[in-house]
Amino acid sequence: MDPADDADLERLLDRELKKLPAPRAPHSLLPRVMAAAAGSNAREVPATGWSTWSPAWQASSVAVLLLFVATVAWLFSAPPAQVVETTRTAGEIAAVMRVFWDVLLQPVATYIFVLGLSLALACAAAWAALELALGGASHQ
Amino acid sequence: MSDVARFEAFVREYQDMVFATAVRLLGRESDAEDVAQTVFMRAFERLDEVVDSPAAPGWLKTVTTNLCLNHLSRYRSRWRFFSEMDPVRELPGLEARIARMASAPEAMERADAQERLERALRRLPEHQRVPLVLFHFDDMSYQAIAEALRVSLAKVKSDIHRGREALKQELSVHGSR
Repeated sequence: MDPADDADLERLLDRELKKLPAPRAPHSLLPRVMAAAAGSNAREVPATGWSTWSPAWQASSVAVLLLFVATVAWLFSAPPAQVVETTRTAGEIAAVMRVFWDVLLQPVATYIFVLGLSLALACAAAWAALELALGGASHQ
Repeated sequence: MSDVARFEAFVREYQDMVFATAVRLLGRESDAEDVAQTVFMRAFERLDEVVDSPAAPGWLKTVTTNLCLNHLSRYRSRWRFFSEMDPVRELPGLEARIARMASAPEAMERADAQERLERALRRLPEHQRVPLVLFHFDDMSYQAIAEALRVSLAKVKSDIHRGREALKQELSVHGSR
């Protein structure tokens, strides 16, 4: 290869290539980039730890927590009559429900279950027989 | 001006430059668009550093070039396979440009020649096109190109020479008509 020719070719091509108009970005590029940027923003989960809360919110949360602990402690140490009464009523209702289950429902529960299962199987068998008899006409 | 508005103005300003760099290195518009998006997302991650900086164009060009070279090395085998199935498409805007220049035959001829040269450049094999683009468009030296592509200096010179010969044929074939 002749160095002079090479140099000429390099200059010629350099001139011609640099005169080329720059290819334009497609119209879809800007919306794509902006959508990706919006998605990237949305994925950034803001810090939500207690230490990042404002002092006012931190003080409020401590106050609410203390109040809750004090209330629970008071309820366990000296429950008011209304709470005791409510608890007793709930216990009585539970006892009645248990008797109702033991006496009325439990003896027939097995039969009801077996009957339900048999009916479901009979329906499935009848449906399959019907499909067979119609020769799959419903699929055509 | 909000960050989103600043970023949008930034993308509008530099999208052609980034895309042009990418498409000439990669030879495929779809890949160039992907790389351009990645480049701008890198800029978005450091919005305050980049957007108002006078060094932004240089930074964008460097990041684009590096990402394109990474892309080429990562997808080299796949690119070769698909490039044979996906011939270079008609360059966008050609028909519109021809229509606009219909009344100016010389300008039309000039635009046509440039279109052919651009297309011939993109059709060059990757090992010729990439060093050629880095040399002529990014003004990199042979040595810098050899280091960037991790090949020998002799190979860079030889590939660029062959690429130029191919483009010269394109220029002379159509120039002699």
